Amino acid sequence: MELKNYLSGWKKLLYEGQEADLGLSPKVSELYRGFVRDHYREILGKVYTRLDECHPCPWDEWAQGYFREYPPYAWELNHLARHFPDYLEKNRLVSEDLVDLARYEWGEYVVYSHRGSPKAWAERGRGGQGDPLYILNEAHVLLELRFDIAGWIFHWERENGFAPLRGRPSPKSNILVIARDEKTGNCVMTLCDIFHVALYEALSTGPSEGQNERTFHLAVQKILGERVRFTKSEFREKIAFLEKQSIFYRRTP
Amino acid sequence: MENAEREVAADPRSFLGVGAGLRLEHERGIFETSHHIDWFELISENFMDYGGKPRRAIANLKGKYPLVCHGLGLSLGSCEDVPPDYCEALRELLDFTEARWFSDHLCISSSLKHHYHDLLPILKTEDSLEKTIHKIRWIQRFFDRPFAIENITYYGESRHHTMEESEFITRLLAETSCYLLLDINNVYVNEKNLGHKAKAFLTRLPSDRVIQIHLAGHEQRQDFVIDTHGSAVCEEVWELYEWYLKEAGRPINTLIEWDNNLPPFETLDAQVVRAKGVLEKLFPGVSS
Repeated sequence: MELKNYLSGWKKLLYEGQEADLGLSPKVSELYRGFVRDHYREILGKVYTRLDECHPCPWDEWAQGYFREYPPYAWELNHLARHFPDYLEKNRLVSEDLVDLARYEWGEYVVYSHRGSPKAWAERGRGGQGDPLYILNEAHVLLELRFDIAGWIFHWERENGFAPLRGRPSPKSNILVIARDEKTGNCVMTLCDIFHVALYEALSTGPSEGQNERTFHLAVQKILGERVRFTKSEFREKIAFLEKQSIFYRRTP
Repeated sequence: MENAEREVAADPRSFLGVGAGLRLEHERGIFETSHHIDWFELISENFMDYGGKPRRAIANLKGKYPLVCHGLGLSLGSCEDVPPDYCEALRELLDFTEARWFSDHLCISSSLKHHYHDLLPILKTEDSLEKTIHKIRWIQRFFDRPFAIENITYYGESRHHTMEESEFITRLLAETSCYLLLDINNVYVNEKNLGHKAKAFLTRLPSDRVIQIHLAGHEQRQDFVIDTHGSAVCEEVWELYEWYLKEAGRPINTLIEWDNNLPPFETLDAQVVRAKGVLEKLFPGVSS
């Protein structure tokens, strides 16, 4: 048998769910098929633990359906779970609040594992003339959610420790940034107001050479437009808050 | 051959002792207790392209313990190129960890742009052997670091094979100058599942090319013995390990693999102590 036919056979068996001439007994073929699908099941259960806690999830069935719609395209096993919130929403498998919970859990995983910007972290507090003043922490995600997922989890854990999540989140449109504190490796949540979003947008466009507090303030104000103004002291207060939340690093020129 | 000569000259087979797979759950045990682990093996894909806590764990270990990297993404038995982003991420990890060597399984883990995240059996034919040799040579050139292949478990034997596994491995080692990561548990599991005689198989492999031994647990599920890495090493595998070391006539770097159903750190350490006991019995003074 030629190798290319053997490889096509595995794809047919494992992905397309068809019989293939691999020279193996049906029992052995089924065992390998089960191994590959079990990885999906395991990884979904690992990334979406809170979803699993607060909803009776038919994981085997979902994992099989998800495998068919989103085949294993990534070499990093955990990345296979990336599209699961979309899969849940598209197929209306859970209510909207739980789709939001799934998006939140994927966001947490991305931030936890992100390669990050260790160079920027190492250089925080240092900088020369002409260096940008603010550097966005790459280890972050911004989520637009329809329910107050962060508040729900925060209050639950404060009162119940790490007991399985119960109850439901309140409906509340919000923009949430999850960023990683490089000092501890922990995820930090920030519910953003309009000022935070404008600051974040200004940082997202990339630092500009010769940036200073005044020019950055102007850039943020431009994003906010004429109708919302904030003073220099308000600006400093917001900046200090976002820095504390690990959303960016500041250099001292 | 230039690369092959450099590898052999570097002789990464110098004895490191008994190691364990690095698990972040065991980080406190590693740094805050007195234990017997001499070196650590990282599952490459669990650390490649990761920052945060996983990367910091490596930074903390570096310099204190020798590290090696063990992956499953190179898919040695498929003829396609390794994805460039995978290669870059692995090379970066090997540099960062200052890995003594790195290894992957003699298997198919991806093909035709699909990643199966499992160890599928290679096709043991002349055509497949030639392509695997070609791929390993490329890997050796690209990564420029000692490389080892690991024998895997099988749950059935394809009638399309035209050669025995021991012949496939031996010829591969002869043609590429890479090393062998010998998984004793896998050899035992294959004896149970396929009836291949473990000792006969081990005798046919060139023991001077074995850079490392894996010991792990397995479990019986219906008609198959499955390589689960989720329990302690069984008595039969300990016996096979001791027998093989005696045959090889030299101490070989040994690693306890325990990836699932993680035990308390002390239980893992106890397995390390047991492996050291076997080595010490056969080669007195080797552990000191």
